[in-house]
Amino acid sequence: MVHIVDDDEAVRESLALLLDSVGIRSRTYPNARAFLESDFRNTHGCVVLDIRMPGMSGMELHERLIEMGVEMPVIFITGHGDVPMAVEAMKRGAAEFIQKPFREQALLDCINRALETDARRRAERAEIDAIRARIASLTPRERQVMELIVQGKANKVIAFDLGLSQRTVEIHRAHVMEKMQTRSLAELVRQVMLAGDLGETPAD
Amino acid sequence: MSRHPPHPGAAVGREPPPRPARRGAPPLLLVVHDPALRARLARLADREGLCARVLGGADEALAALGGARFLALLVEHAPPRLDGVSLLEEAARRGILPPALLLTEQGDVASAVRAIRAGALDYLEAPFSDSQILRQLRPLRAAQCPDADLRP
Repeated sequence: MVHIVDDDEAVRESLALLLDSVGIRSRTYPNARAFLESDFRNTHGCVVLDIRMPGMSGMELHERLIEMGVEMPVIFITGHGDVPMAVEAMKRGAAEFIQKPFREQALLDCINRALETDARRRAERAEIDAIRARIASLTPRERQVMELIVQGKANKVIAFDLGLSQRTVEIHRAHVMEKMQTRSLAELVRQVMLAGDLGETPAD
Repeated sequence: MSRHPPHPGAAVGREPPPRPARRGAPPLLLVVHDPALRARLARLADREGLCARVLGGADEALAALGGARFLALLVEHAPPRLDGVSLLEEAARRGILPPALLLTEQGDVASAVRAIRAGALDYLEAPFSDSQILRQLRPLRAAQCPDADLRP
C-alpha cells in the first residue's frame, strides 16, 4: 500500500493511476491531516509526500511520523526541492527525495525499494518479537543457564557456576533448546543477539 | 599531487607548519580540487589545531583512507574534475569511510541525496561558512580527546 499525500489533485490521481498500472495499491490524501487521521498505521507499505502543502508541510509531517515511531519509508517529491531541504530530509531518514520532473520509472523504482525495505523491517521486527516471546517463556533458572550457554560455557562449568549438578544443567539445557525452538548452539546465539539487551536476569 | 607529504600530519604547501595536534586527534583528510578552497580548509584546520593531509584526487584519497585513521574527511564535489559523492560511496562500500563532509560550489538534489545516503554528515553548498564546518568537526574532536580545550 502506497500512501500519497499531495495537495495537487492532478498529481495524486496520476500517481495513483501509475501505481495501479503496475499493480500497486494506493490511497490518496489531500493534506497531512487527512493522512494522520486515517488508519494508515494498520497498513504496510510506504508514504509518498509532497514537500510543500498548505497547512502541515511534508517535512513537518515526516517529523511527526518520526515522533510517533512510524517506521514506514517516506519518499519526498518536490517541485521546488532545494539542496538544504533534501539534505535535511535525508538526514532525518527519508528513503528518497525526488525532484520534479522525474521519470515515472525512477519513481516506481524508488517505491519498489521502499516497499521492500518496509517488508524486510517488518519481518525482522516479527522475528525479534517471536524470539523475545520465547525468551519470556523461560524460567529464571533456564534463562541463567541460557546466558551461560551463549557465553560458550560447557555444562560442567555452568554446573559449577550455578552450584547445580551437571545432570540438572543438562535438563535445563534441553528445556532451553526446546523452548527456543533450536537444536544448534549457533542458532541459539543468533537468536539471543537478535533479541538484544535482555535486561537483568530475573532473580530466582 | 601524487607525492604524499612525509607523514600524515605534515604541513601543506606554503601554509605555516601546524601547531602540534592535540593528543589523540587523528588528522583531517582534505580532498579538494579548488586551490582557494584547499587553502581555506587548511587554514581552518590549522586554527583548530588539527593536522590536515591534503590530496587532490579520489584514487589517492581511497588509498589514504585504506591505510590510516582520520578524524574526518572533507571532500569537494566538483565533477567532472573531482566526484566527491562517488568517492564517498566507494569508501563506504569498502568500509573505510570516516565521518565525512561534502562541500560543493554548485549542489544538486540528486548528489545531496546520494551523499547523505552514503553516510555523509552534511552536504554544504557554497557559500558555506567556517562555522557550518566546525559544527560538525568539533564534536568529532571532542569525542576523540575529551580533555581537549574546545574553545576556538
